[in-house]
Amino acid sequence: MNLVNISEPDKKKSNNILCLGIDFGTTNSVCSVKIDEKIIYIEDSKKKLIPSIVLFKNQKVYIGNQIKNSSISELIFSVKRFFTENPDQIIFDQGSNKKTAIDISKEIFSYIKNLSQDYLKQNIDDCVLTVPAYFDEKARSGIMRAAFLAGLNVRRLINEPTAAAFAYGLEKKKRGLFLVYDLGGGTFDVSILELKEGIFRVLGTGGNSKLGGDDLDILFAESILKKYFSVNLNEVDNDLKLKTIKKCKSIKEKLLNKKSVSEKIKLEEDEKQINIESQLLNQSIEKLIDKTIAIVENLLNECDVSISSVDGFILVGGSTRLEIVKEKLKNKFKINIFSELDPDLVVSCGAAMHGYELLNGSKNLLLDVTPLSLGIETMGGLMEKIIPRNSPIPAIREQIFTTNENGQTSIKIKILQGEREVTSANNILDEFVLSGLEPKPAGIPRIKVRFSLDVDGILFVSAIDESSGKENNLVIKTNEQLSIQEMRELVSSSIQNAKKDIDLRLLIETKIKATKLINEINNVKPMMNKLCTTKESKEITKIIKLMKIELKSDNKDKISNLIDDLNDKTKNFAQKIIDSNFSNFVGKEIDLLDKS
Amino acid sequence: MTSSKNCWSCDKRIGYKDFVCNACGVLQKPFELNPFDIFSIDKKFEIDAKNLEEKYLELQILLHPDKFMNASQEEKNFSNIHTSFVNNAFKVLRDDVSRIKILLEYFGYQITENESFQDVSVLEEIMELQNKSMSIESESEKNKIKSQLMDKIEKEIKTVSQLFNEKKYKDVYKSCIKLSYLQKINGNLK
Repeated sequence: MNLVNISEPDKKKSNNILCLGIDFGTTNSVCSVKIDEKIIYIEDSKKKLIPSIVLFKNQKVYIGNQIKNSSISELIFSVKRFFTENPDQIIFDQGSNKKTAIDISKEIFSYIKNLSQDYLKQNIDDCVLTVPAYFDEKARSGIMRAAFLAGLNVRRLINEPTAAAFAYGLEKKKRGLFLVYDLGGGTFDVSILELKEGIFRVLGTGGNSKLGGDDLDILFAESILKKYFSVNLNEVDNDLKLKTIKKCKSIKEKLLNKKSVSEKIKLEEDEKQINIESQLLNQSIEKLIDKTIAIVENLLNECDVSISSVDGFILVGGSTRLEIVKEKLKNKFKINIFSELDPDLVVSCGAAMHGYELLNGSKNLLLDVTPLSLGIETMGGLMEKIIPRNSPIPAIREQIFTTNENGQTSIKIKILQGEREVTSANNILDEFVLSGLEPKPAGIPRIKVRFSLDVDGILFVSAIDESSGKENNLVIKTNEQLSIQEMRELVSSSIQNAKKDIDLRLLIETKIKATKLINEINNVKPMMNKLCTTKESKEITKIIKLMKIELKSDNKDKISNLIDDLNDKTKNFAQKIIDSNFSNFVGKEIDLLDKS
Repeated sequence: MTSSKNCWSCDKRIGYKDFVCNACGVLQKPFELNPFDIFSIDKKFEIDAKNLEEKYLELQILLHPDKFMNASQEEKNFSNIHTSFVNNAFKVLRDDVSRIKILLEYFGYQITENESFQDVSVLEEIMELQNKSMSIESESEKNKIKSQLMDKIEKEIKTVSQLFNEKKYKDVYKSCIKLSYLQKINGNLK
């Protein structure tokens, strides 16, 4: 099998189920598909790299290589970076046009889906999507949600270094113990994998989700301005700063195969023709590379793997083209370095191979781990780990909780992700309120909380009151996000029925909105009965009933109307909630019983 | 204990520990099994790590969700739970301390977590090691303490093995506590 790119064949018919392999990158995205033993890259204006750039202009959306000659300040780039903060925050705000990181990524996914369909001349929904191994729960589910909203059916979420190793395992028949060093545009991952015949297994993963090629560009720009203009990059106004960084990025790329380049650099009125040597680049980014090396060493240590037993490094991500990266790794670890497969394309290629095997059957199995520990807050604000990092997935763990006050009828549970002892230093994923417990003396109720981490690395939490045995006795109040599972069900059921892409997308979004609303109202039902008149409650319940019936159909307009109705009818109630006192509803602290 | 069950799909009589029905090939409902039984290995303290790993990978090939992409929703759910059980059991068996606890439970020894740790000399030994490991100043010092720890862990494992043979479960438990402290210190040194 060869990694060739077929130039526009007339027929793309295959006897196999097609599945896209999408690498949604900080700087560039890549999409490929395996058709009859060949990997084919979906091109955007004849280019395999699709810049992850979005432009909203004159009520239209432009993406990737469509964008030409536009001012840099208008462009939205590196949207992937926002996923590790909060994928739902608004990052583009132009009057009525407000977009979150998910909305913007959805546009990129739609674009990729359309490019693929144009090329394949058929509808395609199935994909395997890759994410940085070190991405946390919020970032993972955020990216998945964005893809679902674009009408893609994400069959599997896999880690980028794992995908790359899969490609090396199949394409280059590599066997043994390997370190995948993946330095992308915005993230750094390292994974240790054992590649055996038929089984590719991740032993451990480490990284930094906020360290990548973008940071190298900034450091390089800082050095150039300091050296040739005696200017501090942070003192330059934003537009010029972005332009300068972009310029330095292109110089960095030119220095990949040259010792020095002569470039004209303009800073406001000051224009200079300067000769830039690769040594300056190396000096300015050296510290960052050292940081990645320290992460590699920690991982080896943690997994009890000695470097002498490792068969080599596999390099992934555009930034690993830099000679200094290879040199530093070689000097430090003194083992083989492999980069035969294009480090920009290998992740998508591995995803496409994996997708093909998942849907068409295969003898190769991919076993991965969770990168970060998951747990809950215990008394005193400490984190109790329930699923430690580097546990193989899927993983199911249970923990028993009880009350610490007599007659307590609700318990609050904070779900955490991270490695620190103290809650506040970790990522708070969610807060649960289990209410409706029967009042009993402190320490008597037994609430079993189950953490279920699925094979995509997505977490589901459920709870059951063991003393009453009734699961539905509990009201679980989570944030307003629709779960991935619900979304997956909506998408796959809609895909089966829908005809046109655009209608499909709108329909999915409307359904998601409606389900979200029903969930919100269900979560506060006990309060509704307290705060609303019987007539109001009845009306709300009636609309919800109608909506549930309509959700089974594909009538977008009817669902939309019902959403408006429901919003209208609950306005009054929403105000009452705000006015009422929340504190008597939420339990104070939780106790933890050790599972004996 | 039941030695057979009915396949939930085709109702044929199959073995109690069968993951997959040998008649219709459908994945069975998840069931609770002792970690040793999951991998069909002898219930004893000494373990063949390589053999365990091979069996672990065999079960992954049989049960992993990737193998059930086009299967029914039931089988998908079962596969998820089965694989989680296998992952947990693998972890429990590979770790000396958790393996000891599972065995003690199997042999009917009641572990009471509150049982006070009587042996003052052992406590002192651990405290001393703990203090040393907290005040490491050089790499060579770290390596020295590490090898000391490894020696102690090895020795304790031998003791546990011996005590299991003699069926002195209370003493096994005491050794187990010491071992868990040693391993904790070792883990913190990383």
